[in-house]
This record gives sequence, structure tokens and C-alpha cells, in this order.
Amino acid sequence: MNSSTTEYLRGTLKTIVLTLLAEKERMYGYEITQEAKERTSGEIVLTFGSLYPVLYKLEQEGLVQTESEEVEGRLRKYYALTLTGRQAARQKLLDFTHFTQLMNRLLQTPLTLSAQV
Amino acid sequence: MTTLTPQQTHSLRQHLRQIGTQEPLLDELVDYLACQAEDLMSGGISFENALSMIRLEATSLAVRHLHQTLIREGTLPRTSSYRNPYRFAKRAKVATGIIQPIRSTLLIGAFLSIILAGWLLASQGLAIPAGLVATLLCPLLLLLFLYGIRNARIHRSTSLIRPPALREEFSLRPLNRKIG
Repeated sequence: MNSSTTEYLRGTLKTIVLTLLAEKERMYGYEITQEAKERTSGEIVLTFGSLYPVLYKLEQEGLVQTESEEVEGRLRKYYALTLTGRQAARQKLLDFTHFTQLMNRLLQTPLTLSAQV
Repeated sequence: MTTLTPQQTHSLRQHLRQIGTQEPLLDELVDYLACQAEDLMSGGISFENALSMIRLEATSLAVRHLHQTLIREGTLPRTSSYRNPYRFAKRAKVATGIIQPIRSTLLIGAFLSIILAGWLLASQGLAIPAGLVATLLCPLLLLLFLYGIRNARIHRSTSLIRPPALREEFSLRPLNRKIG
């Protein structure tokens, strides 16, 4: 993962986590990082240092609810979207799609120019 | 899929404690690192090697940065040693626990000195003026002494002098300063 990807990732981390959680009933921290890693063929690797602040923030905002369960002798915390969280995930995804479309339109010209040169 | 033994999970917990992980995050990070170790071990790596690899990622700096981010965002209460309530309690105890006895001792000393001086002067034949001075000064000093005790009691219960870390709202208030 290069520095540019990290830079773009910082602003979209919340959208990523919300969208991943929207696809499953509930997920735990490591599962989220693995899902992101697998879907991007290892291009995007989330660390616990970047993931947990987002998860805790989402919980504080009431978009996510948690439940702890003992798994293989250790306590595992599962995260699930609330009803508000599902709405927020949908909205975030729409906003991001719109943003990428805008970026594609905006950055098309310089790419064409560079190809001609 | 490899599963960690309780001893191996304990090693991870110990590592997290050594690098200063605080209790609210401990269980969650133990599970996170245990999953990571199990994944690595499934790929044929020994637990010792997996632990070494995990130690490279889960450093004290990474954990401290995570704590600071959570505190800054107000999702985790402040519990650093500098803002430890016990530290403040100790300081408050020192402040009100030493100053007050010294003040009381000085006042009692002054009170006794006046009586002694009065007695000495009286033995020299100056009973009336010395007795007059002692009669005026002794109640005054006694009042000052009682006033000092009253003030000390008020200070202990006043929220202004109360250590901030002991106030309920302090631990829940997000940290505003930028770190890093």
C-alpha cells in the first residue's frame, strides 16, 4: 500500500467499515481487516490502529452496536449496524459513488493530455 | 485452522500489557492479535515466529497512538498516569494535610507564648497590663485558630479546590489538544 492509497483511505475508512458491516449480520475487528485485504488482493491492509478508532466512533454515534462473546477462551467483540447505521451506510456509499464519478470527470482531461504527450 | 492454546493467548495478553495496553482495549486486542497469530500459524509458521511478527506491528508506539486517538475523539476516558485520580488525591492530601497542622501548631505556640509572657510579667509585678494584653490577644488567637480549621474544612468540600481528575465530568470530557 503506497502513501497515496493511505492518504485516500483515511477519508474513506468510515465508508469502508460501514459498507462491509452492511453486508453481514455482524463482524469482529480482525474479520473486517481480512475482508478488506481479500477484496483488494492485499492492496489495502487495515491495522488495528486505524480500524478501532473508526469502530469506536461509529459505536459512539449509535451507528453500530456491539456484543461480546467468548470464543476459544477469549472475549470477542462483534459489531453490527443499527437501523440508523444501515441508513448511514447506504448514504455514505451513494455519496462516495457520486464523488468518484466527479473525480473521474475532473481528472479525465489531464490523463488524456499526458497520454498524448 | 490453528487454534491458540491458553498459554499462547496468555503470552499475547502479557505482551499487550507490557507495551501499556489499557484495560478497556485489552480483550479486544488480544482477540485481534490471536486471530492474526492463528492465521500466520495456519500458513506453517511457528507460534514464536508469529509472535515476533506480531510484535513488529503491535508496538508500544502503535498502542499509545491508538489510545491517544480514542481519547482525543472522546471514545475512551482519560486514564494516563499523569491524570491518575490517586495522584491528585495524594497531592491534595499533602497540600491540606501538612499546611494545616503547621498553621495550628504556630497558633497554639503563639497562644501559649502569650500566656507564658503574661505569667512572667505578672511575676515581675506587671500583672495588670500583661493580664489586659493576654485577655485581648488570647481570644483573638483562639478565634483565628478556629477560623483556620473552618477554612480547611470548606476547602476540602469546594469543587474549585477538588482535584480535576476526581470530578466525574473530567474523565468523560474529550481531550482537545492535538497529539502527534
